[in-house]
Amino acid sequence: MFPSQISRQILVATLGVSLMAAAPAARAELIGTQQLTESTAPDSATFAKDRATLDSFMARADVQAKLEQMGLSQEVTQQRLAALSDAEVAQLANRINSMPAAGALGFQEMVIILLVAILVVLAL
Amino acid sequence: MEPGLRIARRLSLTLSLILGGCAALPPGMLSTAPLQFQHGKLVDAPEGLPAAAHVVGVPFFPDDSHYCGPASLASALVFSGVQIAPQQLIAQVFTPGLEGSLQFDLLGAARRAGRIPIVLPFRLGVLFAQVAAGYPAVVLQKVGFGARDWHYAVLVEYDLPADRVTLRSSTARDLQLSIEQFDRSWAAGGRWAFITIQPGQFPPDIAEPRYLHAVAPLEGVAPETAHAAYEAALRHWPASWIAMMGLGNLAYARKDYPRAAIHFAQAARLQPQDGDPMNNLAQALLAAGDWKAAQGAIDVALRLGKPHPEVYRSTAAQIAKARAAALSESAAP
Repeated sequence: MFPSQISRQILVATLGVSLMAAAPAARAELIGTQQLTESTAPDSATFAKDRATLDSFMARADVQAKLEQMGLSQEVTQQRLAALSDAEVAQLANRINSMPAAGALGFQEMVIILLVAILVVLAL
Repeated sequence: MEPGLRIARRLSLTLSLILGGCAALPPGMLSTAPLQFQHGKLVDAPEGLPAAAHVVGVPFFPDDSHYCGPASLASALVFSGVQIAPQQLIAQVFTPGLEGSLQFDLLGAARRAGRIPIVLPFRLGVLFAQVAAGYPAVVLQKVGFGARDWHYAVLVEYDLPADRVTLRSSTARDLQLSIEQFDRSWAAGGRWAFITIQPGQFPPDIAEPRYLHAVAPLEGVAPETAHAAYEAALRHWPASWIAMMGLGNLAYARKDYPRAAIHFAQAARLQPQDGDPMNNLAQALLAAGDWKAAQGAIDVALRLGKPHPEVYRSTAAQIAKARAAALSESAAP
């Protein structure tokens, strides 16, 4: 990998993380209200991990390119994600973690699955 | 089954759930779930549900393309007193590549508009109860056999004796379906529906946990709404320590640590056997610079020891660090 590519990836990753930092992510030692309203209360560390899973997925350059292709700018995606509840993020993160390893599926399908998964998880 | 085949099947299954272009076909008959309206009667009807009800004054935004999501959400939001047009919601909810709007994005956009979206329990009787109480509901329907025939509409009326529901749907201001037709189309998407409320409104069959679960995600995107909703919740359910925790967390987020400490202490009084309020109290006191009082609070949390002992220990370690730093500072000449 060329240095310019590496720095670009780092930039993208940092950008993604800094944008997410603006989202309502409570510090790990403060018990958040959303955590208290979950019936199956996962701890705040789990929520932080779920947000991180989603962050790193969304920060990938190929994911962003695909989202842009689908008509979603990075800004719009981040804004939408920031409005999701922890439980909704957890459902998304689960989907990402259960996705087949890259290669088995085309990348386009993976992103579509992710977006569509949102529909399924709440509905079922 | 071969892994590749399994993945392909899963893919096609998932793709079949793509939310599509707001098709205006008659409802399909895809669902295999048992119907909740049988032999002219509602299964599991809430007590005291009127035989018929109609929410008047629900605005209609006709749409003949893919914008049933923005149109339905706008209908619910405008009814709830938000000045907004479907066009303003497109960027927030519509995904061009899917030619449709995703459920989460509708909920997120409602929060950003300062309203509280409540996803309803998946029951026809509870859905009708909302209409009877004056809340129109945005419903997800499957309206055809195609993979993309998903559709959002707004339920404004039901009439059990006449076997009829009325929806604001695509280009029809008053689309009328039989209750069974509607339930089939609704069941295909898991009977997903939501209403949007303002702070101070308490819809029927929405218990305290579901209400607070709906309010909490607004802390980040619409803190004023969340604040008003927690205060209303405390008037409605005076023992709601979680609503009190919400007020504390909001104060903490805007760095008003003394106010946060007061709320956390009040929450601790309402829920004295739970360590969480004392943990947050310790955090607020620590942030306010009073590590001595913070130490006292976390000691109580540690003694209670549940439900998050690892968090309490972590808070205690933070306090010890702040204390060591303060002592070494005062020891310095």
